[in-house]
Amino acid sequence: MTSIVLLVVLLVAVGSVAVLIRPQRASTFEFYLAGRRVGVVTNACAICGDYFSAASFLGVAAAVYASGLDGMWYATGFAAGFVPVLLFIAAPLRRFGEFSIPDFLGRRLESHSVRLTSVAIVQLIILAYLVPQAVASGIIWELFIGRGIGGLSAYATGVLVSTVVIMLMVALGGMRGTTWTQAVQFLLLLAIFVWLAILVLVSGFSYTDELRELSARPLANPVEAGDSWRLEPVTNRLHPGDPAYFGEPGGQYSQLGQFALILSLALGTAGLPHIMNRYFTSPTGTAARMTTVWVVGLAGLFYILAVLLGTAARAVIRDVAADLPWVAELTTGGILRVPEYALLVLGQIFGGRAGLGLIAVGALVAVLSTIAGLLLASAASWGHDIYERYINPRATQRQALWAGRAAVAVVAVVSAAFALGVRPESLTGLFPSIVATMVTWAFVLAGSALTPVFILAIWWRRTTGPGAVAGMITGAVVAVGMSVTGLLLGDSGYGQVLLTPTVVSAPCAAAVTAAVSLATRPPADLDGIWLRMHGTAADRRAVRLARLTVAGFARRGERR
Amino acid sequence: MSNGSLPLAGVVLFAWGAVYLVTQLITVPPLGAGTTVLIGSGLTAALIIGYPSALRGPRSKRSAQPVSARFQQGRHGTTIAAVGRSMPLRSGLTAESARRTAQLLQPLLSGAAVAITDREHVLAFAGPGADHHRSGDEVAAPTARALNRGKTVLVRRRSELACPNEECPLRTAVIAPLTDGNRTVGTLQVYRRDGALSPQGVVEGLAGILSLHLELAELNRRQRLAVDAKLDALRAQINPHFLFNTLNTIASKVHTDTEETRQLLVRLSDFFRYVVRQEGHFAEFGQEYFFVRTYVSLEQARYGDRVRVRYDIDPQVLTAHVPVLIIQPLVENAIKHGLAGKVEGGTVTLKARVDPLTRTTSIRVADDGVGIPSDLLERISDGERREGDGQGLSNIAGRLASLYGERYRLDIQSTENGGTVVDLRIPFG
Amino acid sequence: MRRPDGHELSLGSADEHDTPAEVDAAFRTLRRVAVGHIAVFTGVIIAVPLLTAALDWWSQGRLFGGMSPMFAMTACGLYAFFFVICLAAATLSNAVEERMLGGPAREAPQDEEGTLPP
Repeated sequence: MTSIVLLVVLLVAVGSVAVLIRPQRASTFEFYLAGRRVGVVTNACAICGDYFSAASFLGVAAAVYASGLDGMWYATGFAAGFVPVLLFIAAPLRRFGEFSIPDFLGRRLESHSVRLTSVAIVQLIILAYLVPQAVASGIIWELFIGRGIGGLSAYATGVLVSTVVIMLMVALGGMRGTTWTQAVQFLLLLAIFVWLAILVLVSGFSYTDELRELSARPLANPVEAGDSWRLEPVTNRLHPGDPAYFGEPGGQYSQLGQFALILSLALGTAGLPHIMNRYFTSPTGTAARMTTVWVVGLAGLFYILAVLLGTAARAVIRDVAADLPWVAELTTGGILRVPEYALLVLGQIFGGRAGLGLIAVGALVAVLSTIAGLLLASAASWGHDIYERYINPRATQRQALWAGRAAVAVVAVVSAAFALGVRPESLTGLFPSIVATMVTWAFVLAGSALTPVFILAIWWRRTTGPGAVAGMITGAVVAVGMSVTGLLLGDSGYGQVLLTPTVVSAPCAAAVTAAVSLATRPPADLDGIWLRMHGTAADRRAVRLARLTVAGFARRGERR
Repeated sequence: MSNGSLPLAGVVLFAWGAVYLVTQLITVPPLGAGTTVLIGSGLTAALIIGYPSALRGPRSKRSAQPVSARFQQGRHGTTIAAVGRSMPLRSGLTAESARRTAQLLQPLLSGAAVAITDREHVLAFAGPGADHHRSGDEVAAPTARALNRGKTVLVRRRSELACPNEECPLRTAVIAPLTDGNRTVGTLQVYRRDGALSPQGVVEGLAGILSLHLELAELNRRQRLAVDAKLDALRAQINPHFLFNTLNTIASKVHTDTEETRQLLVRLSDFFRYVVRQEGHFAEFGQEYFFVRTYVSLEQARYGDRVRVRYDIDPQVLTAHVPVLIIQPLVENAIKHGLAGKVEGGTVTLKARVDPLTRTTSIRVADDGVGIPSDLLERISDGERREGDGQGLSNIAGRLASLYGERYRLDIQSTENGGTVVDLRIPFG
Repeated sequence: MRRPDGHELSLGSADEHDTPAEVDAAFRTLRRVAVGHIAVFTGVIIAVPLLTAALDWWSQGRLFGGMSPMFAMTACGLYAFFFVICLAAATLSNAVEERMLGGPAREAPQDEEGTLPP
C-alpha cells in the first residue's frame, strides 16, 4: 500500500516538474538568455532522455548484478562520456550551428566526400544502437507477457512488436521527439529509480552491510551445462587462481580490459548522432556547455541509483529466492539466470505486479525515447544530408520528410532482423549484460570513427577533408575488424580488448587523419570558419537581441 | 614579493594529516607505512602541480585600490614611543586624526588635558574641560601667539588662558607649534589643573614627533599626486596622430565598406570610453586586454596585413590585476617603432602568464620588427628620455616604480632587424 | 547599413564582431583549459582501476562498513568528480570567453533608454 502511495506522490512530482519546465511560447526570448536555468535544464533532461536507453536502465543494474564492481565500469564510462563532450565539442558544435553531424563535418571541411562518409558512419552507429534496444524490448516482453503470438517465441514477439510500433510511429509522424517529451520521459525514469531505491532502503537494506556479506563468499553465477543450470565460480581476471568477489575488481575484466571499456564508452558519447543533434537546439554555445554540466550531474545521480539497485537485487533476490516460487523458477542457487531480469524481479518483489509493470513501462520508455532520438537522427541524415542535397535538391519539405521516413523504416526492419538473430541466453556467459555490451559496440564505432575526427576538426586548423575521410574509414575498419576478431576468438586473453577496440582504433584514426591532412590542403576560408566556430559574436548578438526584446516587453508592460 | 608558497605548504600539511587520518585511523586494518608514504607523496605532487589551477577561475571583483595603512587602535597610550610608532597623523592634520592623537596623548600626561589645533580652529580636545572646550572653537589668544611666532608659549596663569568659562578647571598650558617643513600649521596644547607647568621638553618633543608625521603625510600625498598626474598625462596624451590616422582610415572606407566603417567607429568609441572611464591605478587584465584588442584592431584597419598580432594568454592571468594603460603603450611602441618602419610588416606577440609559486604576473610584448639600435637601447635603459619616444618606456617605468617600488622588473632586449622583446614582471594580485 | 530584416537598425551600436586574431587567442586559451582538464580527468579515470594493482588496500580495505575505497569511488565518488570537473571547466571556459571576446557590456542601450519617448 505504501509503495502505491509513494508511487503516486512521485508521479505527481514528475507531472508538476514537467509542467514547470515546459517551455512556454511567451518566454522564447528569455530562453535565449544563456543564464536562464529553465531552458538549460529542460534541454539537459531531454539529452538524458535520449541517452538513457535500455542499456542504462536495465543494463547497468544487470551488469552490477552479474559481476559486482566490474559491472560498474559501464556506468562510469557512460557518465564519463560527457566530460570530453563538454571540454571539446559542446560549445563549438553549437556555435558552428549546422543541422547534423555530417552537415557539420561537411561544412567545416568543405568537402562532399566527408559528408557522404560520415552519413555512412552515422547510419552504422544508429543501426548498432538500435539492435540492442530491440533485444531489450524482446527481453521485457519475454518476462512481462511471457507468451508469444502466432507461434513465435515470446522474445521474437517482443522484438517484432517493438519494430511494428516504431514503424507506426514513423508512419504517423509522431517521431519528432520534441525536447519536452524527451525531458518528461527522463524524469519518469529517474522517478522510477528513486521510487525503487526508497522502497529498497526502507525495507532495511543496508548498502555497506550487504556489501560485506556479498563479498564474504566468492562470486558465482549460473552456467548452462547440458540441460541443467548450476552455479559456477567466476574466474578472477586480475589474479588468476584467486576467486573473484562481488565488491572487488576482477570479476569480469583484466586491467587492460577495464581501460579499454572505459575509454571506449568515454570517447563514444561524443560521436553519438542523436546526442550531438540535441546540441544544435541549445540557444547559445555557453548554454550548450551548461547543459552538459547538468547532464553530467543528472547522469551521476541516475547511475548512483542504478548501481545501488543492482547491488540490492543481488542481495534481496538471493534472500527471497527460497520463499517465492516464481523467483525460484528464474534463479539457480538464488542467482538470476538472465541478469537483465534483476530490476524487473526487484520491482515485483517490492511492488507486486504493479511494480513489475512500472519497471517494464520504464524500460519501454527508455527504449522508445532512445529509438525516437535515433530515428530522428537517422531520418535527418537521410532526408537532409542525402536526399535534399544529392538526390533531389529541389525537394519540398514534404518530400524530404517522406524520404527520411522510408529510409528509417528500412533501418528499423534491419535492426529487428539482427535482434532476432541474437538469443540473449546464448551470450550471457560471455558478457555481464548483453544489452549493455551490445550498446558498447555502437559506442566503439562512434568513438573510433567520429570522435577523433570531430575533435581534430574543431581544435586543429590544419585538418582537411581527405584527412577526415581517411581517418573515419580507418577508425571504422579497425574497430569493426577488431570486434569481429574478438567475437570469433571468444573470451580468450585479448578478447576483451578486441571487443572494445577504441583504445587502438581511435589513435589510429587520429594518426591517419593528421598524416593525410598534412599532405593535403586545408579549406580556404579558415578564418571565417574559426570566427563562426570559436567566436562568440553570434551568441552575444542573440543574447543582446533577446535582452532588448525582454526590456521592450517590460517597458510595454509598465506603460499599461 | 608576496609569497604564495606559504598557503601551499599549509595545504600540503593538511593533506598529509588527512592521509594519516584516512589510512591509519579510519581504515581497518591500517595501511602499511610504505603505502601511506606513497599516497602522501602522490597527493603532494598532485597538489603542487594542480596549485596553479586553484588560482584560476572567475573571481569576484575586488577593490583595485591598494588598501591604505590604517591607524591601529591596539596597545595605545602606554609610552611616548608608542605614539611615534602608531603615527596617528599620517593622513595629515584633520579633525579625525587630531582626535585620535589627542586621545592617545592625554593619558600619557597625568591629569592634564590635551588639545590640537590647526591655524584657525580647535581640532580636538581631550581631558577635563572638554565640556566647554569643543572642537571647532576659534583658537584663543595664546594659541594665536604661538602660531605667529612659531615658538612654544607658556601660559602660567588662569586669566591668560582666556577661557570664558568661570568653572574651567584648567590653570596652566604649554602650547607648542606643529610644523610641516618650515610652515607652522597648528599647535599641540597641554593643560594642567594643579598650577604647575607641564615639562616643556616633553611637550616640544611630542610636537616634534607629530610634526615629522605631518611632513611624512605631505610627502606621501605629493607622491600619490605625482603618480596620478603621470596617469592623467598618459590619458590626455593619447597620441593625436593615432586619432587622425584612424579617422582618415575610417573616412577612406566610408564609401567602399560601410559595414567595416561602422565596426571601426564602434571600436574607436570603445577605445576612448575605456581611456575616459578608467579610474584608479589598477584594472583586471581582461579589461586591459580588451583595450589592447580594440587598439590593435584599429591599427590593423590602417596597416592591413602588415600588422599581424598573436595573443597567447593564460586563463589564470585574465583575472589578475595589472596597472592600467601599461600594456597598450607597449604594444603601440611595438607597432609604431618596430613594425611601421618595416615594408613587409610583421607580427606582434602579446604573451601573458602567471607563475603561481612566486606569485608573479609576467607580460611579454615581442615583435619581429626593425629592432632598436644598441646606443638608443642603452639610453632607454638608463632612463633618459628623448623627443619622439612617445609615451616612452621611461613613463611606464616611472609609474611602475611608484606603484611597486622595487618589486617589478622591466627588461628590454633588442637586436637590430631582429625585433624587440619587452618583458614585464609584476606581483600577481 | 539597412538589412532586409531590419534587425540591424534596432540593434544599433549593440552589434557584435570578433576579429580573427581575437578568436584565435580565445581558441588557444580554451584549448589549454580543455587539455588541462582532460589530463586531470584521464589521470583519475586511469588511477581508479590501476590503484588495485599498486595497493591492496584500495580494493580490499574497508572504509565504511563493507565498502572498499575503490567501491565507494566507483559507485559514488567518480560521478561527483565528473560533475565537479565539468562545472569547473564550464565556468572557467565561460569566464575566459567573456573576457577574451567582445567588450564589457556597453551602456549604449541604457543611455538610449532615457531618450526614448514615453
